[in-house]
Parts: sequence; C-alpha cells; structure tokens
Amino acid sequence: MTDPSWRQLTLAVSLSGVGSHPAARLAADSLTPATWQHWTSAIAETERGGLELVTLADGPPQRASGRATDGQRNGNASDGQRNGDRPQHRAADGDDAARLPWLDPTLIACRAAPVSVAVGLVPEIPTVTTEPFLVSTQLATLDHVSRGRAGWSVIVSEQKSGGEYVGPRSVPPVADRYAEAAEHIEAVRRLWDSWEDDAEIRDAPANRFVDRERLHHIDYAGRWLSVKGPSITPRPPQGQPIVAITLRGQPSLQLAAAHADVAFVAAGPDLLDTTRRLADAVAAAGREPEQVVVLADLGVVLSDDEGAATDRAARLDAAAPRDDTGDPPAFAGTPAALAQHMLQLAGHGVHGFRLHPAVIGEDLPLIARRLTEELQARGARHAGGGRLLSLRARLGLDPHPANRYAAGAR
Amino acid sequence: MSPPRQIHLAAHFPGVNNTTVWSDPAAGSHIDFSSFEHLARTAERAKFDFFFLAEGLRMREHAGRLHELDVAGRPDSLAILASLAAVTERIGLMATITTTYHDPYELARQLGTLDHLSDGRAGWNLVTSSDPFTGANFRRGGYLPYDQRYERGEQFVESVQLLWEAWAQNGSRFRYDGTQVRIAGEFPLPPLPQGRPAMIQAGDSDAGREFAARYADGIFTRHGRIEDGVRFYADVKGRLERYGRQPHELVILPGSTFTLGDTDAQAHELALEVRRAQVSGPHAIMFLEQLWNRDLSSYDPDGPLPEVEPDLTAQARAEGSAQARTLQREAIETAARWRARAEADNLSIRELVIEMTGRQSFIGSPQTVAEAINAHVQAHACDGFILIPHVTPGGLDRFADEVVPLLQERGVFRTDYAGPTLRDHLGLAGPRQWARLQAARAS
Repeated sequence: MTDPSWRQLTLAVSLSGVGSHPAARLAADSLTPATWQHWTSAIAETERGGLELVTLADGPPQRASGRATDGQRNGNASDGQRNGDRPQHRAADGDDAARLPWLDPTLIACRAAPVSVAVGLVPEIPTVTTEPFLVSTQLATLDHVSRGRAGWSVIVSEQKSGGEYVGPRSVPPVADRYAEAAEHIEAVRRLWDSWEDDAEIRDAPANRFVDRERLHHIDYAGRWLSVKGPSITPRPPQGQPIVAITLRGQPSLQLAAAHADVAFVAAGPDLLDTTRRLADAVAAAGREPEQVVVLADLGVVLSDDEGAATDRAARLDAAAPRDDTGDPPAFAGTPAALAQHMLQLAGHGVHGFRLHPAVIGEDLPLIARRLTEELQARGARHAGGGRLLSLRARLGLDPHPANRYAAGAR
Repeated sequence: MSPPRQIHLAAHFPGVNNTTVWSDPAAGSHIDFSSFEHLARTAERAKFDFFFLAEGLRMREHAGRLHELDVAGRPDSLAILASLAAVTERIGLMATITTTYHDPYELARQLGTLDHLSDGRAGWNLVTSSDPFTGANFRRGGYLPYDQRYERGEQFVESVQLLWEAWAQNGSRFRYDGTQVRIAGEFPLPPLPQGRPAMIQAGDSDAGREFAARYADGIFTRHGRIEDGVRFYADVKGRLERYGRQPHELVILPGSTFTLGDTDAQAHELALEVRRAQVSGPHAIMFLEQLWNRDLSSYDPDGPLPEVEPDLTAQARAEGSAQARTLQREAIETAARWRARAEADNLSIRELVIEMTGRQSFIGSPQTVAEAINAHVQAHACDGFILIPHVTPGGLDRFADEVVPLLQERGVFRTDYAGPTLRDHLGLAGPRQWARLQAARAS
C-alpha cells in the first residue's frame, strides 16, 4: 500500500438494506430488501459500472459492530462512548412499521453469483455467532460458483448481547472479541488451504478419487475455538477468497494489519493519519505493503444538479438524522464534484473507495453510470470490459496465493 | 373408483459414497456449479418435487486415514441451493441439515433467506446426530450424548418455528428457553413465502418416527420390499392422529437407486456392471473391515471370507459414514448372515459384497421401472421416491426422458406444477391454511 496507484482508483459499493442513510427506508418500500429482485438488480447496476466489488451489509443487532464515536472509528478515541445496543434495523423511535428485513448476505451473494460475471461479492459475516467451518465452506462455495469473485467482510460484534443468539453456547467477553476474530479467520483460511489445488486425482486404475497426501487436517487449536479439518469443500478457485476488515479502533487496525487483504477506512479528517498507522502496523506484522488494499469509506447523496443534491441530503437528514458516530463521512453533490473530491483524497494513502449510496434506488445508478464516466474522463478509471478476472486479480493482490500445506510451500 | 394416488419424486445429487461411480466415462465434476445446474434443471424439466442434497460435515476416514476410494468434496448445501434458485423456477430446493452442529438462529435465518430468494421453494431434511468425529470441526466438539439428540432436535425445531413467526406475531422479538436451545433477540425476516419451509426427517428408529409424526412434513427412509413399506407406512401414518394431523400431511419418501436398459435383461446386465464398478476389490475389503472391525488388508478380495469373527471391542475403523455406523450396530448377526450366503453360493469377498450391498432398488426397462414405482405407491408402501442416480450429472437424464412420461400417461404423476412452492408440490397446506391449523391445534 505504499505508493497507491491513485490514477486507477478501485471502486466498491456497500449495499445495505435500501440504502445507507437512516432515512432511506422512508424513501423506499422498506420490504423490498426481502426480495431477490432488489439485490440482483442492484448488483447488475454495479456490473454495468464496472465496479470491482460490492459488500453486502448485515443488519441485525447482534451482528452490528457497535456504532463507535467519531474519532474512535479510526482508532483515536477511548472506549466507552459507544452508542449502546440499539438495534439498527429499527427506526430510532422504535416504530415497528419501519422495520427493515435483513436476509442473510452470504446467500444473497450466492443467489447473485450465477447471474453476474465480473463484480466481487463480499458478504458481511460476523465472527462470534458463527462456526468457522461453515463460514469457510459457504465462502468457498460462493467462490466456486462465482469463478473466483468471493470475499468476506469480517464483522466483529462489540455488543454485549451477542451471546443470547447462540445459547446455551457462550461467547467471549467484549474485550476478547478481536482475539477471537483472529482465531476465526485463521481457522477459515487454513480450511481453504486444507485441499491442495490438485488433490482430486481421479486415478481409476488405482481406485483413488483423491490423494490423501494432498489433503490436510488443519488441527487448529486456539484459546477460543478449535477445528480439526480438512474442509469438505475443495480449495476455492482464488485459493484464498479476500478477507476485508473495517477499521473502527486500534484492535481492528491490528486485526487488519495481520489478516486483511482489504481494509476499509473512514474518509474523515484523520484519514491520512489512519492509513499511516495501518502501514506501520502492516510492516510490524511482517507483511508487505502490497498485500493490503486500502479503500476509503464515503457516504454519498448524488444528483446531476448541485443544489438538488444538497437539498436531498438536507431532506434525508431532517427525516432521520445520520448517526455521525458510526456512519461514514458523507458527500452531497454532483458526480463530477464527487470525482474531484475522490481524487483529492486519493493522495492520503488509499487505493480507492467504498461508496455508501444513501438511497440505493437513486444514488447507485449515478455511481455506476455518471461517476464512473467522470473518473474515466479524469484518467482515474479504465473503461469497462476486458478480460474476466478473479477478485484478487482485479484488486492487484497475488491472484492465487501459495498453499501453506503444499510441499513446495513448506 | 377413486382416482389413482399421485407419486412424488425428488432428485438426490450423487453423494460421497460408493453409490456414485466416478470412474464412468460420463462422470463429471462434483464441485462445478454446472453439474448441480444440470441435475436440478433435468429434475425440474421432469416436474420433480425437489432437488435434494445430503450433508457430511467431516471428510470420511477409514482406519485413521482419509478415505480415497470414493467421490470426496462437496459445496455447502444452503449456499449452492441459493445459487440454484437463480437458474431454476419451480423445483423445490432441499438441504439435509443436522440439528447438532448448526445453531437454530443461523439456520432459521439462512433457510428463511433461501425461501425468500427462491419464492417459496426451500426445504429441510432434518437429521439428528451425535458424532464426536464430526464435532471436532465445530466449536462445541462432540458435546451431545446420543440419547439427547432428539431432545436437541425437538427444541431446535420448536425454536426455529418460533423465529419464523416472530416478525408477524411479536414485532420480531423472540425468546426460547430450553435445556439444549436458549436464545432471545430479534429475528429480521418478514413472513416466509411458505410460512414454514417443508421439513422432512431422516430416521427410521421409533424415536425418529414419533418425531416425524409430531413435527415433520415427510420422512426420508430406506427403500425395502413392498410389504415392509406397507407396514412402515401404516405405522407412521397411524401416529399422526395423536398430534391432530391427517395422513396426507406427512409424505413418506424412500431413497432409491435405479438402472434402466432397453430391455429388462439388458438392464440387469448393466446393473451388475454398475455394482462391480461400485464395489472394487479395495471397496470390498473396506466394507468387510467396517463390519468385522479388524484390519483385513492382507486378505484377497477374490478369495474366501476370513475365518476370524468381527471384533466388537475395538474402536470403530470407519468414521463419518452412516452406512458404516449401521453395519457396526448389527455386526454379529450381519456377519453370520453374510457367511451363510458366501458358503451357500461359494462367493468370494468381492462377489459377496456386491450381492449384499448397494443392489439397485429398480432395475429394468422404462416400462418395468415405471410399473414398479407405481406399484409401491398404489400399495401404500410409500408416497414416492428420492432417486439417487449413480452418475454425476447426467444420471437422471434417461429417467426424465423415458420413465416420467410413462408415469404421466398413467395419470399418476403431474404434467406440470400446480403451484409455485415446495409445499404446493408436496400437497401440504400453504401458509394461511397452515396458520389456521396451528391456531386450531393450540386451542
């Protein structure tokens, strides 16, 4: 991540319910996120714009990461100012009519995989309430079906309440959640490597379908969990689907430095400071700078008319105030102005952006059609089309990492 | 005269055991999406009720080593079914899921999501297990004693049903306090297209039958002779009344294999060829080792049975195989039966294993197979079959093209789907009727 090639900005979008703005549910039919059409049409829109990836948000309360305070989001503030356990799929006033449905993001990605061809599909999946074995096989399956476009946006819940969803199993105390997440990720990654690429040999004369020498028990035994292995699912096409972590404090920065292929960083005033600290932490973790792609998070309210965009933003904010402590910094304006703004921020140690459309139905088409044109006009994006690549390849990561268990890697 | 009983059919994606002949020149990939798409679309073209996936959450091992002889490697069931929802329109999508190593909230959310993403086609084949070998891949390990597996299963089902009703009944909030399941919170899915996805249960034991009679919409059972089927059918359907249920509210579907030929004679030749491919020399020794629970690697599969008797004291040699677990439970009687058969017909180890395991349920011309299938259903031996082809992914093609039209001609199998959901295909009550039934039973 030294010398990010800002001339070619990586572009991602976060798809969250009907939009990232808390008032989005008032502007759209709040039940549409329960339909597959909502998701496949949004994902088709991102493909039209040639975007690299979408993250698919997970909303229910036990999965949310605990909304953090302004500075704390990037790791500067102390703990203890968290915005409590307010369920995020409820309006602030607890109005049941405004309930939003949250389908499982991994299965949404799987539903979209056969009807999309190029965009990376990166569902949010929490750590404390899930089994590493099932997370690993589901993402490997997504990678097989999508031909190498799968990723995992890791969600580490900092809310006390997570345990009540998995009782009588207990979950780690909040202070240990990042330590547990590191174990979870390690087990998932080992399972992805537990089949070597050529483990299936189909040697009929010898009656051998697989070669057991190329299958590996992972024997992972951590403080919080243990997994024997091998996986039941052959190694995914990418070898290692991407792991993405959102920075929201020092523990998350350390986790990202050690384990992430992609780090999401709020595009706020301390962006440069955060990316520098991340770079230092990556080096301290013994990894190379090019192993971590840094994308800045930015909420957007767009219109082809400057005044109309700011009016819309004001109306949305009036209908339901944004959560300045947890929502990414917001931009309101024209696609051209957004392109300018992004190019200015691109010098701050980032490879690209993850944009959060305030209202998917209104802002996503402007991102996919107009913003991408503006970035192309400024030489910051290539025109779409071209060869179909895996997600790792499109992000400039090692397209097929060596298997930790293969003879050559030992 | 009453109209003939209607047959239900489902397609089982070939599994990771020796039923699946991967050495067949026509055998394709077991992990490429195209294989799953091919079988699901073939079954949908033939108007089958559902596409079915088994579950195995640990790679099979034999004598402490990973098993090499059979197909290995499979996708996650719910993930691949969500993908299949995109390339099919009507066929049901059913996953086998154990209540022991899944969590009720996660499962309710994912299965409910599949129901929304498929417009009401999700299905669940519920299994209860107690298997520390598989548990080693999960957080809680082999935590569940064998005799508590149905206690967990019942609480799992009740809590999952509570979650599916939470949005409409209780403003999304839920709380379930059991010994095996203790959860509370909010459930984020609006009412499912099916109200409750169709759920079948695999397990022939007395506890399994009672569980099915109380909770399930169907039973996935073992195939047998018509007279055994009739007894099983009467027993299970007879248990429904005490739970206030009607006989048609639970379908009985044995898992079945088949071999088709142009003539019956040709089909029997082919069937023997398939069994020889399914039981190689190493397979035969492995089966015998599962039953004898001894190292028999020095024996010649083309020679006679070992003189020694099964070892009931040692640790089981085969892990992760339901077939092996069944064999071990009945080891001494089975071994005596096998020995008698080998002596009577002068069979080698391999010949004996070919005779005693994996014989196809239906063998013959399309005409013969269609008649046999229909005979089982009309005799009330079952309500239909879950068919297990032995070749991936084209193993159902000929059945779809040649047997299904004969069943349709006889007026015993649909020529098109009557409704959009899996519950519709199975002839089960839809969400509204189902809610009324629930309310009536509660009062």
